[in-house]
Parts: sequence; structure tokens; C-alpha cells
Amino acid sequence: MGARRRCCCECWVFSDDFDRTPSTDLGTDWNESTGQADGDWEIILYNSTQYVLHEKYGETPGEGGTADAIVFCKRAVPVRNIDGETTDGEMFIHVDVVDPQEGDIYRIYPCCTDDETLGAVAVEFEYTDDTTDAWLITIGSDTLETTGEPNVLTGEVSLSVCADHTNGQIKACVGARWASPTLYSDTDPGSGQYAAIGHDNADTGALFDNFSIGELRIPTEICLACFCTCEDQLMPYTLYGEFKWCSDGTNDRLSCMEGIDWTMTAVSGTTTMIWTGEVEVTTVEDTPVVQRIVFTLTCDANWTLSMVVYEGETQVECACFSSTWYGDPDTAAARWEDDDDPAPEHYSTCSPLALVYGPWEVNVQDDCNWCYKYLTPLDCVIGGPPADPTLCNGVFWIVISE
Amino acid sequence: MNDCPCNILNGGFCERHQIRKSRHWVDLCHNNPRWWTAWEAGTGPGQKQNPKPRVFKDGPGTQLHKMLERCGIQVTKTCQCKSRIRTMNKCGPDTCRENVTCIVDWLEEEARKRELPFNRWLARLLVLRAIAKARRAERKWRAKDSPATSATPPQPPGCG
Repeated sequence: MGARRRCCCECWVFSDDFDRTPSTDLGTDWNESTGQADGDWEIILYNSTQYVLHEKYGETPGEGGTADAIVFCKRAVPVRNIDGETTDGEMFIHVDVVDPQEGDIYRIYPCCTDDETLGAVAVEFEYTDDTTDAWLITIGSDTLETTGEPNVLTGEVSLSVCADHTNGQIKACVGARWASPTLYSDTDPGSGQYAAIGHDNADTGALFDNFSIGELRIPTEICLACFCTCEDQLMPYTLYGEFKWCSDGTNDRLSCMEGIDWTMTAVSGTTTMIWTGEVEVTTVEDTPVVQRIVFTLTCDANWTLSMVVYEGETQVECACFSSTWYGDPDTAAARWEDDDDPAPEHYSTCSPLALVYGPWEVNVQDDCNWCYKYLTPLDCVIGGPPADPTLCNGVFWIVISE
Repeated sequence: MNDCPCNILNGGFCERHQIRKSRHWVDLCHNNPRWWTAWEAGTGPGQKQNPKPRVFKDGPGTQLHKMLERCGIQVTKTCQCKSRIRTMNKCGPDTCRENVTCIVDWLEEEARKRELPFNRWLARLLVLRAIAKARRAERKWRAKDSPATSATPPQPPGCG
């Protein structure tokens, strides 16, 4: 019988380390769906040291297997109601594969409809090169090349998948979940509460160990920090950036930026979730100058938003990129309470998600060709009042929303 | 889909929510209940904070502070006086009266830090006098101001 446990918290987790008497009967927690061409799934004592799950094919592990063999876990992740949203299709799945062979393909099936029907998505892990321990992770059309070295003592490599139907995203990695490059996909895993594992190794079969499945969040806490969250709201795969409150509509140097927006998407291959996106901003002069601004948002304690400006291929040194961030609603509220610190004009919220950055104040010295081309100090200061002093300065904010 | 009346599908000023919305925000207004609800409540993205309600500031904390200042005891950058003044003002006279011992403890702590002589009985008298002054000042302030615009003091975060 599989070992089951609850965390210290109320988060639900089911684990099975297969450490029990070898048998072809996996117990009531498992449904051996396919892979029975020459036997079935079984628990074996491998290398006289560890009990593992083996898709039985012949008498010797590694001798062969059944293509597309699948075994379902019959334990369903519970559905919670959090602020009116249900947690259907939210889960993490973890399993170790033992002594993978080059060319092996392992699969984790998240969000299966029930304990005998697959869901919308399969996450595939292919061991592509045993000299470099290279793996290729595939979710639909999204792929990531990564590395995952088998444990020297046990020969095990960890495979992990997190699925979030609510936000339509899946992530997967090989190796330690908190420190491995991760594939992010905006594929909707579906709303199922079950999961399955399997392989496609007709020549080499498959050995699995240390399976676990659990929920991502409950009303009072995040169970597993699998996805990036803002308070307890999971961050979407796609975000939208927008210039807002560009001098509140006055006709100044940045007025034409008001409402310009861009898309930011999660970037695979990083250990920390980041989103990138870019937008072009043009001067309104007779000979327009186009500048490209590349944004990177990092899921860290400070929600860092960095901007790099290019004119053609040349990076422009804009002096205007220092800003106060009103990203932490609690901090913003604390400022608001403080009589000595004026309240922010605009501030961030996690629900709905709107991270507010600003204000950026662009002055005469800033080399940003946005809207009206910047003027020189000679135009704005030394040479007397400029023809239009509003062209010397400007203010803008940025909002990142869901 | 929400019944968002903003007829600005390509973005523009939304009369109902009194903010300028981009196309994306109009879309969120129509299709995302969280955004709709927040904007309807006046707390959504882009809606400036409502002006602070007028708060009575000459509460027991301010009164005690003024009395101590007259004795030459000033607020310093490193002391916790300012936050405690704020706390006392938020508490209001009644709660401060219930927590006189707590406030005297604060004074004693600060006196010890400044190596000043301290007498608990005198300190208690000082605090009670500050509370009485605050009551009078508040009565006067309320008489000037309509009750609707005055804010109810919240419960103290630091007392009792």
C-alpha cells in the first residue's frame, strides 16, 4: 500500500515510494491502464537496494518495454473554492526515473479526467544524450533543452510537473524543482484532478520511484511555490504592460506614450520566473526616431522591472530609469498611513493584478527620443524660455496587468 | 461578460469608472469579474485613492507630546515617540484611558534610554491630563465638524 501523508498544513499530498513487498499488484491506489503486452506493472527490488515501479516486460528490468505504457494514480487532488474560484486542474506531480538510457522517453500526464482517462496534455521528458545528461522537455509545441544528471548512488533523476488550469499554464523541469531551468507553457492542462505516468521505451522499459501528487494552494496558503504568485494569486503566463498617466494628458514630452501597450510572456529555461516583452516608441517630429524598449519583469521580492532602450542595435543610455515601486500593497498602505510620507498617486494590487511602477521623471538631460525629441539644456535652460517648455520634461508610469 | 457600459472599445475615458482605459483594460472590464468589481468599488487599478477622511489629530498622543515638549523633552530621530503619538491618537481617549499602564511603560522605557529621572505616579498623572485635554479638544472639534465627516478612531494596534 502506498504511503500517504498530510503535510503539517492542510495541503493534500499523496506519495508512493513503492517500498513494499515486490508484487504485480500495485494496490488500490493504482490503475494499470496499458503496458501489458507481456505482463503488467510491478514493484521489484532493483539492484538489491531499492524498491521501484517497473513496467514488466520479460524478466529483466531494462530488457524491454511496451510503447506508450501508462499507469494511473487513482488518488484525486481535492477541489477547493478560493475566493469564488475553484482549483480544478491545479496540481504538482513528481516522480523519479531510475537509470535512464539514452533515447528514453518518459511521460507525466497531469489533470487526467479520471483514473482511466487521460487529460488534454502529456509532458514528455526525453533523455537525449547520456554523455552530457541532456534532456528535452516537451509540452505541446513548447520545448526546453536542459540537463539532469542521475544520482550517483541511486541512478535516479527527478521529473516534475506543475499544472494550473485556472491560469492556463504548465511548467516542467528535470532535477531539483527549485533550482532547475524550467519549461513554461501556456497550454491549458484541463480541469481533471487525476494524474498518470508512463513511457515510450519499447527497447529499454522504465523504472519509476518516489511518486507524489499534491495540490498547489488552499484558501489559507500556497502549498507549493510552484508558480510565481502575487500574494496568493498565481501570476499568469502572459502579462500586459502599458504606459499610463503620462503627465496625465498634458501636452508634454511624453504625452503620446499614453496607452501604448505591449505583451510580456514567461521565459523558459530560467530558474526564476521572468517575463519579457518589448515596444517601440517613436518621436512625432518630421524625421521620426524609433526607440525599442525591452522590458524584463522578475518574480523576486522586489518585482524588479528592468528596461533597456535601443536605437537600432545601439543601446541608449537613458538616465531616467530610476523609480519608486509601489508594488507591495501592504507597503503602499503603510506609506498611506504615514503622515510624513504622501500616499502614492497610483499603487499596485494583486487582485486584480496590476503592478504599478513609477513615477519616472524625464528631464532635459535624458536621452530618450519619445514623443517629442528631447531638447538640449541650451534649448531648455540657458537660451531663455524654450518655444514650448513642456517639451523639456515629462512623467510616466508603467502598469503590468493580467 | 459584465455589463460594462464603457463604449470605448478602443480605449479612452470611462465615464462610469472615471479613469482612462486602454483597449486591454476595457477588455478586462468586460470579461474579468475581479477588475469589474474593483472598479465598481472605486479601488481598481488607476483609480486614485479616495481623499483621506478628515481625522482628529489633537488626540491624547499629540497632547502628551505637547506637554513633554514644554518640559524640554523632544522627539528624536531614533526614538519611537512619533509612532506612539500616532498610536495614541488612533486609540482615542477612551482606549488610552484603559491602557494608561501601557503608556506609562512606554514613557518609562524612553526615560531609561535617555537616562532621565522617572516617577511612575507623576507620569500617570501626566498621561491622564493629556487624555482629559484630548477629550475637550475633540468635543470642540466635533462641534465644528459634522459627524459624517469625522472618522471613528480604530482600535489600537499597540495597546493592551
